[in-house]
Amino acid sequence: MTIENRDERLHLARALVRHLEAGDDQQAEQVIRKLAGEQAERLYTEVGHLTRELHDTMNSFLEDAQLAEIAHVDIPDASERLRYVITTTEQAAHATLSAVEAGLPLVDDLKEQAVTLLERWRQTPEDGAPLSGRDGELEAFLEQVRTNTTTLHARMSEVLIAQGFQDITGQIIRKVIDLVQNLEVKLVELIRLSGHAPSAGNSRSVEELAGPAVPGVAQGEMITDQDDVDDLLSSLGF
Amino acid sequence: MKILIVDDFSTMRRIIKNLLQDLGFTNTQEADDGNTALPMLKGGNFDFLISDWNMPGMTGIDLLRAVRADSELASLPVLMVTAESKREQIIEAAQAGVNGYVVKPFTAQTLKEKIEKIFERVNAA
Repeated sequence: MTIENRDERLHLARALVRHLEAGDDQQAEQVIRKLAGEQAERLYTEVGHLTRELHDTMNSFLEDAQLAEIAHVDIPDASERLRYVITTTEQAAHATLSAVEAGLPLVDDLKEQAVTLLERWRQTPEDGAPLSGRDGELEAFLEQVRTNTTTLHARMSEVLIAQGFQDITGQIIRKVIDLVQNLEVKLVELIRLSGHAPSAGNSRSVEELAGPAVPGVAQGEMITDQDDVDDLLSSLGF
Repeated sequence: MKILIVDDFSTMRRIIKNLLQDLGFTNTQEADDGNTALPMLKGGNFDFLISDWNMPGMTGIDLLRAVRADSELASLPVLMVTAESKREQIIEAAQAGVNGYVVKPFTAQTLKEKIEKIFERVNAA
């Protein structure tokens, strides 16, 4: 704590004692508010700086050279960008699933035919012998087909299951979108609620808090436009 | 065997549908939320319900409770397939009357085993 601050506090504290001893409750109340105001002041400044940082970080997304074009043309803000991720991963997963759905019946069909031929030929060895080719090449081949199609079916099922990534990542991304939106809205609201700039006009705070019976102050006006946020933060000195 | 698959992610519904097909269950239908699923279940003659937990309208746990509270649907076998893996949630689902619980990500083998287990118990009862 700087010397000026301590001196100020001492001065206020002495004034408080004087008022209390004299029974001046209203004056005492005012001094108490001034003393408490310092703490709130510091907190307010911290929160203001944090909000500015968050806002600038989100805006700096747009300045990234690689993303600038996509961002300025297709995606205006961070939440939109996250939604875009969900959409594109969904499309990619569906495309993969379509390919797998088309491929599996072909694989199963091959396997079925190979098995049918093998069984037929094995049941009639005399007839089958010339057809199985030199050294049973064809029979060996059919065996190979049976084995490989079984493996292929299993591998393709794995590809199918792996597309589940889109569901899990999508759920996480949705939570982040909610978090980012809530955070920014709440911080801006908090600053509006506290109602005054750090180098304080008490006059400004009186205006903001005018009319104690107004429940609508807490709800206020939702700021959702990036430019509005920028303007508001600047006007409050951040 | 008529099965209803409920999940708000279309990719997951498609995966489960394919896995069921692989197991021989070809009569499947889909819903994207508890709210759309419940009317489908009522009078839909479904034999099995597979549902996610987190859905924006009516969650899976609320769908489960609605099913158990409905005189027509009360004994419908329900399998939950969800990313929610907290102990309290699994307990909550069990207390609400779920028949099986699969945590994402899951393997085809796991899904198969859980479904078979549920039908074993249902047939034994």
